[in-house]
Amino acid sequence: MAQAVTVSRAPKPSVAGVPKPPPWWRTLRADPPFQVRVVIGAALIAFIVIIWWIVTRGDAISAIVSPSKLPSPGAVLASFGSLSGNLAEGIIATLERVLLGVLLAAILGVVLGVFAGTNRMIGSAVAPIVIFLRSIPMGALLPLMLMLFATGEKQKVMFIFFAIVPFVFSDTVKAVSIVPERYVETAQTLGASNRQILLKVLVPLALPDVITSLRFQFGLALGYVMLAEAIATPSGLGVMLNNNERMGNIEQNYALLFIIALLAFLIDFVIRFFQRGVFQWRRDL
Amino acid sequence: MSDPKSDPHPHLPGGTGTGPAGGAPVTPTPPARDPAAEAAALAAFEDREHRLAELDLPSPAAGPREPDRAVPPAAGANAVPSALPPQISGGTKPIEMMPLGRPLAKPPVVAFDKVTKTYGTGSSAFTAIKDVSFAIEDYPGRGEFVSILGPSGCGKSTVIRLIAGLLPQFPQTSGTVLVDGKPIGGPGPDRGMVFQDYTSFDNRSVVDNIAFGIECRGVERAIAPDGAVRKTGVLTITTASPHGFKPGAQVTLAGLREARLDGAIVVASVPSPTQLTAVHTGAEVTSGGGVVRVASVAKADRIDRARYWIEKVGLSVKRDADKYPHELSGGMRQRVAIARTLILEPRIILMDEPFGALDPPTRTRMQDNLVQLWREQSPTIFFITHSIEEAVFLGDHILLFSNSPGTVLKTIRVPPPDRPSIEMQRDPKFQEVVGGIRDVIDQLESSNRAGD
Repeated sequence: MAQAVTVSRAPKPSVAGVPKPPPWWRTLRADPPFQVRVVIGAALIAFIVIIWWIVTRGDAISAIVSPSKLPSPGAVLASFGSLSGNLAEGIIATLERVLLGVLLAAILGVVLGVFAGTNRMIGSAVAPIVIFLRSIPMGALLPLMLMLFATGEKQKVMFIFFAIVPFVFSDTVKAVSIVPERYVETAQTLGASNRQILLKVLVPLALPDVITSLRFQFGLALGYVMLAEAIATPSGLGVMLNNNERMGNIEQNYALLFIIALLAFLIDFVIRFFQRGVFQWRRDL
Repeated sequence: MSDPKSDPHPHLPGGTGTGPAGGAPVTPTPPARDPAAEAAALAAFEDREHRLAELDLPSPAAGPREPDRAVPPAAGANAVPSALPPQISGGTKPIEMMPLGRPLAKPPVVAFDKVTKTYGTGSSAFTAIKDVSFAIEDYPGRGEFVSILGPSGCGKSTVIRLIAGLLPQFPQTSGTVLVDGKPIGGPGPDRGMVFQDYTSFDNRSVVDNIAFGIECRGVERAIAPDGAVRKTGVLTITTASPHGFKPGAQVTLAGLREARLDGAIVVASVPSPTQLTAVHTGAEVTSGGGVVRVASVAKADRIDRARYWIEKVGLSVKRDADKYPHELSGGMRQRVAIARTLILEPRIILMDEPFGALDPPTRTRMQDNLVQLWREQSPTIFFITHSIEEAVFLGDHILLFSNSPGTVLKTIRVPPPDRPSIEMQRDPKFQEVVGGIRDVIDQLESSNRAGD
């Protein structure tokens, strides 16, 4: 009867003799099928919206949570319409600042990072300053930026620049350093000069990681710019958030948060899409 | 330095009974070893080696490298070069031989003399190799295949990386390493290297990987001895292998011996694949070897050359040329690495366990391919391996290394590969050679352990 016991413990065969693999929900770290992922993701959102709807039901007095703190889903949805006027203008103004700041940081950080990653003397010279800059909390930089650049566009761009350039730099140094030494040695035995090794081996192999770093920093910069835009700014998403706060337009603020999150996601998605297209030889992007 | 008396061809034939290479093995053994046991092991081996030498392994009459092997073991070292035919044809490329008699006047391709490499200082010092001495002769148009065999951590890689000029093994702590009679200054394209790890540049397709060296260095070809002749204003240069330069190409001459003709010339015509002419003002000369080089090769030309090599190493231009390394198997990646090195036609190729990570069937196919390529291009190859079969199959010579600190225990002359790897390895005589070497290694290892 020992045999019968073994058989009953084995997975139920689907076709005669062929054992069935265990289902995904009983396999560690196995992804559910795509449709299941979509359904359970949407279900959780729907659940939260329903809770949201329940706690904001009724008028200002009967609602469980006061509409001055959490407006109803319907009110937030309706406020999207009233936003549309200066929304495009705000998005463009904000993105312009972020792009400019990140671009400046990329130029200085990547160039300096490539040299520091290749020439360890430069690397050692710059390391203490970079560690110091990285350790300054972002918000603490803002008053200094105001003193140096007043309240104009320059102040916002420079704030983003100083906030992210140390990180772009160290990520670039890292990306250059982790290119295996074997590649450098191979290039040397194939007759490449130091300059050729830098331009034909180290930079191309480090580039995908550098772009990844810039992508992350772009997302963070979008956060920093909101802070910079809180002070004396004509247009931008941060200004809109602030104005809404002053005028008590809480519905619009919730709507704006959705828009900003969506924008950040889209930008990340687009950069990543191009990154995957350009660096097809990197499977892990 | 090119005095023939200065290099006594310690590893050369008679080969069988000549004993320790460069006097290294038996005499200065580290204290941990048991000299008596080692001497006994070597004696036992030499006896066996005598017998191995008498095995008449069947070899095809037309085997390109056969003449070398035809020398009776008792013949003197000097008899070898004169036994070489003036013309060796290997595969599609005829290899021109230089006039005989001269080679012995040339310095060895690679010569190690009492080379020691120690890392660190004081109590943490570690000696990787100690008093390593050997010399690999320079037979024009016919490089030697040297297998380096020994236990892990015996400094095999140190030897190869010293020749390559790669840090931190380079430079040696003491002793001299000479390539073509000159000390090494650092890595260079005349000494190609194939590593065990896959080093194809991930961002380049197969064809661009193979063209990398040409992209960096242009094309360089050795000028055959007496290969630069200038009469009535026309300079004729004969290269040691097909050069592929087209009329109109700007060519740089460098290192021409006996003639002051260095500088840029423009190719006027190409009378044959290994010849080019240029109009050149200056003295009438006849010169010894040097280098002729096109510094930058047009992209289309580079790709043409790379494609030729894709097929040469057993890949398919149609299927594989545009693939990226991540789409290739381990064997294919190593084929790319070999093609990338061979396209530069280096004098010396250093291979650090290139087939170590491959499955056995792939490995034997790669061995056959390598033998074929080596015969066609005839570089001097240093090939590190852990596999005795591989060392015996591929090598002309085996440098047998002992363990820490590494030293050349013995130089063994082995039969040439005259059949595909699989077939040859099935031969009982081949197995006897392998078994003999294995016994020596076992005995040496056990004597080492006994000495501990």
